[in-house]
Order: sequence, then C-alpha cells, then structure tokens
Amino acid sequence: MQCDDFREIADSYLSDELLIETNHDVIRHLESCGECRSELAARRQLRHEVQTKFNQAAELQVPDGFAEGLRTRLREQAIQRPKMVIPRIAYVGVAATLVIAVGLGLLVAQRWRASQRELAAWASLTNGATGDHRECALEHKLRGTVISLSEAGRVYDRAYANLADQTSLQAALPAGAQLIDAHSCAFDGRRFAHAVIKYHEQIVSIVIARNDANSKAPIAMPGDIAASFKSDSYQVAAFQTASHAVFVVSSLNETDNMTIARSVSPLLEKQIRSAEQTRQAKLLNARRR
Amino acid sequence: MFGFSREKRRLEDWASFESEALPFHVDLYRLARWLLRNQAEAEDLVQETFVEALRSFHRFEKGTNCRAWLIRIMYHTLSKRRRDSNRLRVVGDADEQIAETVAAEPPRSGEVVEEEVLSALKRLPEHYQEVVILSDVEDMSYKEIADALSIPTGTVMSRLHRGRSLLRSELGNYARSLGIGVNRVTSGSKLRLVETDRGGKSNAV
Repeated sequence: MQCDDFREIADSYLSDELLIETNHDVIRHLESCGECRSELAARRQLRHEVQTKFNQAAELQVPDGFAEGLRTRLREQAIQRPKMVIPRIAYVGVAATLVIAVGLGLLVAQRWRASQRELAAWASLTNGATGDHRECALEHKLRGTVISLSEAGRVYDRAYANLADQTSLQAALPAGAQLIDAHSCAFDGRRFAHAVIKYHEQIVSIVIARNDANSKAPIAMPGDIAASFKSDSYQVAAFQTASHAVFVVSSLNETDNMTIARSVSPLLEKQIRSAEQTRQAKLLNARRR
Repeated sequence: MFGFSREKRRLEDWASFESEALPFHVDLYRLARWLLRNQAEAEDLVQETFVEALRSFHRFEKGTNCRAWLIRIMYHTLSKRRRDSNRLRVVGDADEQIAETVAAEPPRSGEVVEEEVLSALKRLPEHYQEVVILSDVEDMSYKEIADALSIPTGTVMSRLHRGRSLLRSELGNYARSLGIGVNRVTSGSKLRLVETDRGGKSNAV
C-alpha cells in the first residue's frame, strides 16, 4: 500500500468500514510510515473536534422544559386507554353500515398500498442487479466484496453454492458465449451470485438475488422469463423462483439478451429450486422437532 | 381483568421505550436544530419523530442501534414534511457543481476560534454536512446512514469522502495545525472502492 492509497481510505479505516484484508494492509503500511501515522492521528483528532464542538454547541442544546414536556406527552399517548363509546340502539345500524363501508375501503387501500410496495421492492431489486452489472462486471469496483460462490453458499445462501458448477453453466450457454467468471459480490446492501459472460463482444451479467422482501415482479408465472425490459439503459431479462430472482443484464440487443436468458434459465431454475426445497425441508424438520 | 393486563402491558412498553429511546432526544434535538436552524421547528420535528417511534417501537429490533433507528425516522419524517410543503431540496447533478464551487473558495486563514469547526461545517453543501455529522458525530455506519437518508451506500461513501475533503480544505490552517495534509486532498478524486458496505458484509457472514 502506498501513502496515496492510504489517504484515500484513511477515513473509512477510522469508521471501521474496511474489509479485514484491507485493514491488515493499512496496519502494515502504518507500521512502516510515520507520516501516515501522524496523518491518521490528525484526522482522528479532527473528527473528535467535530464531534465535541457539535455536541457542545450552545445553540444546539435542548431548551429548558422541552424534555419534560416531550416525556409527558409521549407517556400520555403510550398509556392512554382507547375510549369506549356505547352508541344508542338507533344508531347501531348506521354505524355498522359505516364500519363495513370504511372497512372495505381500507381493505382496498391497503391492498393497493401493498402492491405499490411490492412494485417498489422489485424496482429496487432490479436497480441492484443492473448496478451490480455496472459496478462489478463493467467497472470492476466491487472486488473488495467478492467471495467465492461456495463460500457464499455456506455463509449466506445455499442456492448460491449450486451455481459454483461452472462447467454446467458454460455447457448451457449458446455457441459463442464464453463464461469468464462466477463469484458472489455485494452491491448496495445486497449480496448477489454473479456470473460474467462474454457474448458478441459484450459483457453480460447473470445476477441472482434473494427475493424474499415481498417484491412483485411483473411476471405472470414463476419460471417464466419476463418480457425483457430496459433498466438504467441496460437490457434486462428476468425470471423468478419461490424466493430468488435471476437477471440477465447487458448492453446486447433484446434478442441476444433473451437468447442468453433462455439458454440458462432451465439449469439455473433447477439448481435454485433444489436449494430452496432443501432449505424448506430443513425448516420443516426443525419445526417438527 | 383483561383491562388490567392491557394496562400493565402498556406500562411495560412505555417503560422500555422510555429507557431505550427517549434518552436520545438530546441527540435528535441537536441534529434537528442543526438541520432546521430554528428552535420551534426543531422541537416539532423531534416530537413528531418520537410520536412515530413510539407507534412503531414494536418494530425496533432490540440490540440494534436505537439512535440510528430514531434518526432514520426523523429523516423520513422530515422528508415527508418537505414533500408536503413542496419545499424540494436541490439534489442530483447540481451536487457536483456546488462541490466544485465550494472547493474553489480559498481556505480561510487566521486564528482558530471556538466556532471554527462548526462554521466550516456550515459552509459545506447540506448533503455533505449531514453525512459528515451522521458519521463523525452520531457514529452511524455507512449502511445506517444510507437507510436514514434513503440513498445508496455508495453515495454515502462518495459524499463522505468529498465532504471530509471539503471540510479539511475549509478549515485550512486549522487542519494544517493538526498535521493533516490539506494540500494533498483533491476534491475531484474518486473514492476507491476497497471499502465494502456493511449491509453486504454482514449479510455475507
């Protein structure tokens, strides 16, 4: 590690946000470089100053009486009993009708909100997949997050380990497509299984993500491939299993991108489903016990 | 009998909220006061935040960072408010321009006064201020900041990097007196992605 490298990541080191390996590199560098040691001490000092000055700033202190008022109001809200009102008999019919109408309305509204949430979750998952393609396969920025698929299968998601069989994946690909790499990487808070393929001079990503956040893909049946769509200027084709989603992301044209998706979907679906079933069986067994 | 047990339950819930969440009103107020620059508005925001937190306290995961959880609620409340009042903030492409403008200002010189650090912080564009405060003052992880501000972790990292560089150059002499190599900081340099976001890391383990 050079001094310039250290200065780039010194703040992340202080925040304890580096990978263990990088941390070791930093420590090794610091052992041999006095200049960077004092740079680090100074940055730590500056942070301390920011924290102290902020916490002690007179204008930012809680005004007198605010805490008591806040506590009283919250306490009232927390322990107050819901008021019971007994309606007169004559009003009961009207009230019941109103309750049913409002209930139905709420139900519809709730369903609508739920579907909006599901769509938003799917959109976020898709953005994660295209982001992973861009940051990892195209810009090589996620090296620090990469682990092998078998390790990912062990510590994160069993379905990812099944994809470690690169021979089968290469065999499933159409002629002219070359599997370059398969690993697990993390982007924007999600961990993916990621296969990188070269096809028609373009980099193609097959990105597999866990999809247990109630997201709803615009896909009719599990296993069907979504009519491919554009996201973040990339061509995307996607399909789902019970709790995973698979994305094929590239800058290929729609037909070529679909060709890749169709060629790998039977294999991947089978592998992912078998992992999902194993997991479900395990859960059932555990429950029985 | 049932009424009694319900009441007992409510009292227990309150006791747990009071001991876990309420003590952070000091931190929340400071942050709200800083963000809104107005005492009455800050008080309102903190109160609204705690009302919402009380309502959803059953969703708070025990053992996780309660202050970060509250701050997340506060930011969500604030952004809802801002949406409601149509007072949208400048975001997106303008970020870069603002950053460049600020970076181009010569570092202030002179004696370091008590307020120097805070006034330098105030001179940063708001979205750099908030990530620096959430990280340095509130000790939140990149992931927690990302959740609170509803932005990707990568954006948190790049804003922090830029924000701290700007802060160091804003502080000029002061930073130099601490021995920080201000001259070597370039506001245009990209953060190298050897970092990982905590979400990914913790998921993986």
